[in-house]
Amino acid sequence: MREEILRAEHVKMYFPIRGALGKAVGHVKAVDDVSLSLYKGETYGLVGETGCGKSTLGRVLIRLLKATGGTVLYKGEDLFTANEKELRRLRRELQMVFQDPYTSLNPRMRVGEVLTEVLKIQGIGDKDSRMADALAVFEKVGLLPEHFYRFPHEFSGGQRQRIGLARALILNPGLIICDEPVSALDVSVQSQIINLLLDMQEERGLTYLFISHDMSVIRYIADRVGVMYLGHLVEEAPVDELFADPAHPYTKVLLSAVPSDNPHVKKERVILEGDLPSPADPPAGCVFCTRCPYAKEICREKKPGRTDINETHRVYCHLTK
Amino acid sequence: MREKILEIENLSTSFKTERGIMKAVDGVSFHVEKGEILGLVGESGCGKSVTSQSILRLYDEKYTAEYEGRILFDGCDLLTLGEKEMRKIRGHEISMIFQDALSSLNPVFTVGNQIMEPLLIHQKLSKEEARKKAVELLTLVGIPMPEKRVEQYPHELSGGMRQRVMIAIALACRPKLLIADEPTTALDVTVQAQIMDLILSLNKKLSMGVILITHDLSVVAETCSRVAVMYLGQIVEEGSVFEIFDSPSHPYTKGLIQSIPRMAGERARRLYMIPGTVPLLNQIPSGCRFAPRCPYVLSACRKRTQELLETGAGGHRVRCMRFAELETKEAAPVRAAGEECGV
Repeated sequence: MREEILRAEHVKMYFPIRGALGKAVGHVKAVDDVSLSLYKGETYGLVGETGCGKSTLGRVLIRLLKATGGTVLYKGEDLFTANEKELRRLRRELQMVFQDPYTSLNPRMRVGEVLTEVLKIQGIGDKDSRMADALAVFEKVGLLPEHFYRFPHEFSGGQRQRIGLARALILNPGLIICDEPVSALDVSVQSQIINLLLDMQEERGLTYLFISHDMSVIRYIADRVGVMYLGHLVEEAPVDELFADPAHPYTKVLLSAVPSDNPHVKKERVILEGDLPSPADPPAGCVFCTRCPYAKEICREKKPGRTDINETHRVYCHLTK
Repeated sequence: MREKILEIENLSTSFKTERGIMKAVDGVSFHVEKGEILGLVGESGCGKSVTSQSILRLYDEKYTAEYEGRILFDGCDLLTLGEKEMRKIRGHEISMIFQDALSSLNPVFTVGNQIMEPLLIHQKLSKEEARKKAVELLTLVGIPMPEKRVEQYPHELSGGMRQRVMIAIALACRPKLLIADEPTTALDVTVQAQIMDLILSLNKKLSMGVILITHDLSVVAETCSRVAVMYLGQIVEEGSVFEIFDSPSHPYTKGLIQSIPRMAGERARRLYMIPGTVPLLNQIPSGCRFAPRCPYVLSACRKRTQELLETGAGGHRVRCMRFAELETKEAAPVRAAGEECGV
């Protein structure tokens, strides 16, 4: 059995909707009762549409947000009960690469400083050794030493994403949450960054949680995949199994919506009706029942429980046998 | 061969900037036939959007932009028209859908108002008629409860709905040509599928020509009949969608197609990558513009400017001196894929 490095159990993240006088009048259930485990050295792909809670879940897993309920254990330590000092130590292990390379770097800081600051805050080394460490990571991600004193605006999108990755790598973390790291990039640059992520993983045995809405990128990079819809994890399976044999109707819809890259193939498509319901007022029963082409009576009344298709493939749907 | 509704000959668009004159589009020629969808692809910064916006002359001609060449629409050169006549074309004969629907719609007017605007201006309809037409258009683009929606403001609609409203505005006057500039880039795949389906069915129903600008090659593979690939302000290859995807001739097209993470078949351990990035417009390399990033580059490529050449029948054109060689045998790449060069 592989080593489990992170375990999340029944994680809930509710954001209050404040009415007049700041009183909570309801909740946006961004993440609702999600459990998952991450194993050392794997890439876990998290897919779903905008607003399904995948980014929020990513943030909760490294405690950038404190969950409303549930527990997250990193190598056995509870992230939500840890105190300030313990958290600072844990943060060395838990890093993040953000989607937008343009807004996730401080425009007034030279990129060299962006990197050394991380070490300074963690109290690692002295000025010279920090410089040397930063330069070493800088070259690792394919940037040149002369870029070290430049400002973020002097770089292209792909190069900025390299800087974002360098910032995450400099502390030698165990887990990196990659929140749509290639969505803002052209295909040619996208493949450069994906290859770089794979190289770093091979070299350092990193674990990635890779959040994306692009199924073809997920198919390429992930080992296991979780599909989210409206705050719920609806299906989880190894990547080849999920693409070959999806069990949840929503996963089937997502896969059929991806355009084919072969002009000779005309795809049979399940087109979804309507839009995502509001997470402040999710449908009763199965969250997908309002748009599901196969919805039955029971789907509107009862929340579906977990069905294990095999050891590694689970699905939350009434209609799977 | 079907009737050509748009024919662009040798179009160049340059901008006067503080750092000198930048030629964003340099000698582009292509045509659009009635009822066909032409895909215009390339990386960011290769001039796709400037080309399409030049067709409608959306840039400020007084101080910054300068156009050269000819844009023949229905036999009439758009570049010779006065501003008043140009206004009769925009939104009437040729319409455009932009990438970001939220910032393209006016936040202080209802969507109904915005759909009615071109009808009131171009078709001189009365307010009641225009309103009725607006409701019809919303139904056409698949918006439920159109009577209620015409009264709503853009912020009350979801991303997919807003894009549908944009399409409704663009189609209001039944244009002969629709320019869709990255219409689905900001949308989720499921919504993208809805919108592309809509554009396809309207293209068939109204038999209008469509120019689809996108950097998503899978969308092109699925919807377009012909494709033009742009690099640094020039077309480097043009052909039918099958020619481009089955046997791309230009090294840049090959690179783009190989970089797509595939949805079917074997997964390689590493993705193919085109080394480096698109150079800035004031650093255009001499000779072949793709030479610094090309895996098949020869020293002759850096010396000689490349012409866009017909390769045979069917209007397939390539801008590469080695294309014949590259087609017949698998020419050895001069450098390994992925080797960094002048980033």
